Amino acid sequence: MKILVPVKQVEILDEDFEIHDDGRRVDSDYIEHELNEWDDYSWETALQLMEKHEGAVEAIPMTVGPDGADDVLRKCLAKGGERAIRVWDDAMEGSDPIAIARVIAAVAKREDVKLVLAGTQSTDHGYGQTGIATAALLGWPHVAVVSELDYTPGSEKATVRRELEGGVEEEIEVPLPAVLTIQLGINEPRYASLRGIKQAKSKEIEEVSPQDLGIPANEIGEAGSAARVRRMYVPERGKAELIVGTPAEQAKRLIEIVNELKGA
Amino acid sequence: MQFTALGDWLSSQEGSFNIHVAAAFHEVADDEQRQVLEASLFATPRARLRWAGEIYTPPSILEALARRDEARLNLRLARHPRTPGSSLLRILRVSDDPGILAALAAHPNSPAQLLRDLPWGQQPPIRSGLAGNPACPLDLLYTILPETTMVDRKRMAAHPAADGALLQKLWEVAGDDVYLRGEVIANSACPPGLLAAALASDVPLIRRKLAENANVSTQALITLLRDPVPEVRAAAARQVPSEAFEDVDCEDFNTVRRIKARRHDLPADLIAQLATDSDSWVRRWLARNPAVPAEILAALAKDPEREVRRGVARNPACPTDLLFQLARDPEPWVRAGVSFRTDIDEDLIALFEHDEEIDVLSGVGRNAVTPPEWLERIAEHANADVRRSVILNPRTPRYLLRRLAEDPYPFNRVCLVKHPAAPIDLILELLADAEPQVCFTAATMLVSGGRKAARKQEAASSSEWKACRRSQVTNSEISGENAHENPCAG
Repeated sequence: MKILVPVKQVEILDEDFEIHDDGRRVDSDYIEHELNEWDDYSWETALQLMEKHEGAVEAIPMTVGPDGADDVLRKCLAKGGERAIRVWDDAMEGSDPIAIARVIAAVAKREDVKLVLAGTQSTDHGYGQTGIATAALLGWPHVAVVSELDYTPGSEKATVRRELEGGVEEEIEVPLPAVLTIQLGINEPRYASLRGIKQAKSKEIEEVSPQDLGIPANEIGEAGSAARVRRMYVPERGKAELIVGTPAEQAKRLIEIVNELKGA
Repeated sequence: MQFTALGDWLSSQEGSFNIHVAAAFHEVADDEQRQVLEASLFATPRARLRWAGEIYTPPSILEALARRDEARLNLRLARHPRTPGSSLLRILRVSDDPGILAALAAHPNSPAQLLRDLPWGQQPPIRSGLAGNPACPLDLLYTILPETTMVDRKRMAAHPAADGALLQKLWEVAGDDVYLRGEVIANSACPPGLLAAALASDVPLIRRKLAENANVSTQALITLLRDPVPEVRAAAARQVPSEAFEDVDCEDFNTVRRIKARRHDLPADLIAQLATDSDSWVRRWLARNPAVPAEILAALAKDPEREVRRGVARNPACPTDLLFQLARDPEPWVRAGVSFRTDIDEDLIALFEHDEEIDVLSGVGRNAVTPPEWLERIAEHANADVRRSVILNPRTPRYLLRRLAEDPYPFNRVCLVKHPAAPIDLILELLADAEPQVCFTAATMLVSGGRKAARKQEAASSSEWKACRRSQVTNSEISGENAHENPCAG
């Protein structure tokens, strides 16, 4: 069976940055990139299934992005897996989670996967929608914020646990194929060995366009998005208070604030 | 690799090299080599911004970036703690951005003239930066004082250059602000008159700050040791002569007793009293105290609290028989206290042969007396921190270091590069590591190793030359066949 693991190359902002002239994004000169933290855990989940059921499972990382996004795929392949898929076309610029989900769903169908393991959300945009939207487009059941997964390849069902408020957990049996969004802490992601890093350089990354997947132009990019960024700006200062002074003064003010909030 | 071989390394890279290695080599490169390195390091605006902001960027690169006079870089450069003063001067010449000027005002590398040239009269953030800058000259502090805020004045009161006259002024303008007055009192340059006033103050904070002042008199400390406020007594307990303790009634505030327990000059009867203290932190501090006699340590080694027993294990003066006892403690944390000691011998280490606890293994792995065959086993452990202990062991054999160079945890490879016995060829291999921190550290080690070698060579040459001069050996006194061995020849 195949497991598809969509991973994202997220943006990391520097402490000081500038908004781009178009007013809708941060100037790219101030952005660094790395693998989305949640996707590290979802990829590790897939690797553990692959290792536990050697030969029965193929895990495939995929991403949506220009060629710089190969970095995150190589990071995944350095830990395991034999091939990856990257989907991009310049027309995809401005895609929201729904548009991205269309691409993931198309790849899932093309690869005939039984399981999609996505990160619960991304560290940069935090929509938390991409995985769920993928499930909706595929018409598959989904479980979000999975903190434990018990699955045997060949089985028609997986058992998962998910976190709820107040420390409560629920256990769910979900039929496959399914989409699961994976929570932080489900496992301990491994570090890639030096040998793995070297080997990853020669592993295949298939570049695919949305057209190759049969996705029409009006379903990707801004044209295919239900939401678009109108404006990005640094907000005016709100209720935050900068507590200044000597440590003793700061401690006194902190105590005052705590007492005010407690109504003392 | 000596840094004189940098040219060879550059040539071997065929124009495309690791930018993190290039960054480390930049400092020792000549002007021509730097041009080559900078072509890669500064290739894009993003790259330049990154170098201007990374905390490990060498000063030579920051200097090179400052010479570009790029406005977007200058704010980061003005904030970067390693930016040299000459570069900060250059930034001031081309900048009038308030944020940059405030950053320059606060920068400890800013030369005094730069600080004087700042338009502090118009911009409060500049005055704030100056007030807290240890490089700000005293006369400038006096100049800006009338226009500073109370927050700035507190920074000035703690300023290392503040003299008695400035502190007196700050005391007078403090008014009801007890925090400012406290900062004045805490400053070691505080005038004696103010110290006397502080002793009589009815504000506990001021008395506490007095007790923290390094120049407070012994008599004042003894008085403060009897203060009704426990925090004042605690502050006094840190530096009052230990003889004063005998005259004091039993202290009921545990913070004060904890501070006493850390003193190396405690009277014997107080040690005995503290050894049975109900507060485990008091006993814990006492257990670590090297001035505590063996019989007290023996009692603490049987304490029900594991942290107290561990404190004994970590005590530099702990007798060997107690170490043997603690090495068999049921608590791994206590046994680890022994395994981490650098003064134990093979007989003690042998007790840990079958111990599988991670904390214990971490100590065994880094211990210089651990047998190599044990280190091999520990180097294969699933836990990265345990494996790192072998890397941190100064006696780890080179063959094992080579094996550990494949460790998947990047920080372990960083530590390996720094190992004193790491082979040069291994460090050279790690220049190509996938992790930026590893290759940067490897390059830095080569640079510093090259510098040390050059300094040794220089010192050796210098001492040989001096020896020649002293003995007045000349070429004419040496037979022709030995002339080439004369270090002073040619």
